[in-house]
Amino acid sequence: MRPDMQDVLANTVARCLNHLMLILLPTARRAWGRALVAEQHDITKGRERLTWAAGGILMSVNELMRTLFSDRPAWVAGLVLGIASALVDLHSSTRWPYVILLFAFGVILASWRPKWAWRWTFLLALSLPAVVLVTNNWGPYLVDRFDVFYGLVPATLGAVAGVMLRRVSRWFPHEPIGH
Amino acid sequence: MRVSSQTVAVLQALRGCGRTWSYGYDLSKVTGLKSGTLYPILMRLHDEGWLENKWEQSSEPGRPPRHLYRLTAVGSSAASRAFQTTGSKTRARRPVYET
Repeated sequence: MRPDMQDVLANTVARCLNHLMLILLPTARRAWGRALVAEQHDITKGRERLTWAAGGILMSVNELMRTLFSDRPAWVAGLVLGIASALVDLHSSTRWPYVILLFAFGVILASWRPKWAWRWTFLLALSLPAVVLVTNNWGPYLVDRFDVFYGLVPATLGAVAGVMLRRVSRWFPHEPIGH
Repeated sequence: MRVSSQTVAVLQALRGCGRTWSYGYDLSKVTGLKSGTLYPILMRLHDEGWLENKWEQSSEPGRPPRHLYRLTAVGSSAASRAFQTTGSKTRARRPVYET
């Protein structure tokens, strides 16, 4: 391949990586992504520009993970509530207590921490399969079926309700007590 | 804030520039850090209030504005403390040879 063709190819791939990086970056960090892209105009070699753009992807994945796993109290609360509801389900004759608990915990977690509330959905719902695998206690579930994942439905509905509740509560400004 | 050896390298580069603004690419060349390592460090330093930044409009048409960086007063004193800590750690790790 001719050197100028290599440069054209490297620049094209770098542009694609820049777009992907800006999509992946959390909104609060986009300016940093644009800063990283702006520096590429000073890099003359195509391969070096490509390496610089690839670094941007690394940065965005790093930031994405950092945002995803931020808020330790909510993660701990979600884990505890998820395990508690899973244990209730494994020792219950019907599934209604589990469904109601997951919905309620979904509402609580999502209204408490509405940012990226889908994280709590997965955490709550996947606690049951995790507990089943760790304890090897399948309770009322069949080993060859995937019905342990049905908790995703009430947890998702609860999270949606929680986010909506949070939004509705913003419409009513809280008056300070005593005024 | 956890100050790694790479963070120290960035702090040293910024400290070397004094009150002059630096570009990200120049910092990368001075420190030898790739963009994927350098920019997260710059973000953390900014979050801690150690770094200030500004955008510089380019005179060339079609060229996006560039980000410039320099240490704040807080960052400068924090950098001094970080250099002392890393210096003492390096001295502690260095083997002592009897003569």
